[in-house]
Amino acid sequence: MMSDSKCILKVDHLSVAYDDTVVLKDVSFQIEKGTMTAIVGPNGAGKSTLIKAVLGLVPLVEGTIDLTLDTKTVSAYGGAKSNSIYNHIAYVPQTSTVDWDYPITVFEVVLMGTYRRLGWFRRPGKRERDEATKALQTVGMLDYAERSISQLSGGQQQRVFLARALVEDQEVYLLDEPFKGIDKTTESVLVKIMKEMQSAGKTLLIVHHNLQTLEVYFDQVLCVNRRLVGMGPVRDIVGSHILDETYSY
Amino acid sequence: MELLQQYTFQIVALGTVMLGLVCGVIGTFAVLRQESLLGDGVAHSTLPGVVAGFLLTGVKDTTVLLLGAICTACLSEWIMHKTSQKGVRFDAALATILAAFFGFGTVLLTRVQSMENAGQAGLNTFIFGQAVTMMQSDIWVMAICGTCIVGGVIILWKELSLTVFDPIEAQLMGIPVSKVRFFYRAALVVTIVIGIRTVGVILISSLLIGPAMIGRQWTHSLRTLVIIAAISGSAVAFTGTFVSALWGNLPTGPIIIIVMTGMILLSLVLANGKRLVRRCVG
Repeated sequence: MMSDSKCILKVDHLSVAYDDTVVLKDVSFQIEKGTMTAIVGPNGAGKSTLIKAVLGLVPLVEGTIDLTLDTKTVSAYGGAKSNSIYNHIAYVPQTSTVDWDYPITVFEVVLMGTYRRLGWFRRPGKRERDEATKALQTVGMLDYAERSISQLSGGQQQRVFLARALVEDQEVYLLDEPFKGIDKTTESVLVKIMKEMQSAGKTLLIVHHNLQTLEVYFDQVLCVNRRLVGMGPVRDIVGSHILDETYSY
Repeated sequence: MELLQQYTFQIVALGTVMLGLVCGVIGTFAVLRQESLLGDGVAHSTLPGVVAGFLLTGVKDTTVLLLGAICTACLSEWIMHKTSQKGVRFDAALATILAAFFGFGTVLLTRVQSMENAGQAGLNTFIFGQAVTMMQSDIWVMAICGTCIVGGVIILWKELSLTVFDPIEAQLMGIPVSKVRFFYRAALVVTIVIGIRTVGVILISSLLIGPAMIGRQWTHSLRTLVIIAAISGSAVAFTGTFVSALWGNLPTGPIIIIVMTGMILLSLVLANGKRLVRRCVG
């Protein structure tokens, strides 16, 4: 499945703290381009924090993050005020992070994925609208384009968020529990889209809870419990002591 | 219909219509940010500023009083913002600060009223508002502030709508979320300050919330919502001004709010009726 063995994301000795509480300590790992990685661990293990740290949403106490793209390498350092790595990563948050009663249509939400490219003041034009239409088609939500987001089910909300990320057309995608609270059918639709993204050379890191589906969906697993307990190809991790160790407090 | 020709009425009506429009636009974002009562807190906090402006200068000049209002409004808004960042619940911070500032303003007002100064009378009109005292210069201030606010909302539309809907995504998109929020908060404070002379510190929050409530019954699109809120805010303000002028001594601010409440109720009934009919037909 891997298109090549080039390392796209390198996290080195990363530590994150909220006030005085250390949430992640000394986490180091490398992600190869075109892979689909599960981030697993018990509640409160720092999985979402890890994603937010990579995105620059929470400050790093120490450590380095390097994102190697075709043309350049972008880095973030512990202690630095901000980083620009997030400019090259698409993020699919948990659906609970926004107000779904907001007066906006499905199409308008997906169109928001083009805002980064547009910069200040410019409005989305035909090109952006076409891209949004294509993304909605990919996730099977084109029929819902003009619907209010308040009328969507949990699975449909997730698909809309995925479409918004697709429009961004980035190299790396970070997804925070995309399968939470959705039915089996929608889950398989989402996995199919993610596999297609992977085939197109995209790299995906996904916070995941269901250990039963690890082998079916992912190439490798990152086990986190306030530190990196272990990481490796999915067949090496599943059934090994690493998973037990990850989930023992 | 003679009323419509009167210069005084035209000035007052123009002022209230502009205020209704600006309140409708900026109030929509306050409602969507689930900060409907923020306007109420900020408005009540202008009272000590108005009275302090008078106490410090000894003159009842509108510019001085409104500058005083801006100072205390910004101070209270800043305190609410900071305390809610430090883990105090927003509604608790708001209730405490609203009461504290308004209480302080009332004490100052009582102090002024006991002074032997002929210019003091009229400061309490800021509590319930007195639109009839509006002058041409006030209209200019409203027009300039209103144009800046509505113009700012149009220019920053994309940034503002994403920041209110999904602040994390906005941040990741490279939008300076804190600057966009600053614009919204500054616009809210300015709207309130230019409006307190007309509808008073107690009632202005209704003019901010009401138009968005009316609009929300009819649309699922932010753009249409803001347009409906702006139109209904202006329409309600005009109707209120007209009714209060028609019946002589009725206070403009409270009448506008009563008309607003009627419009909200009517909107709720009609929109629910429409949904019911659609469900029965469909």
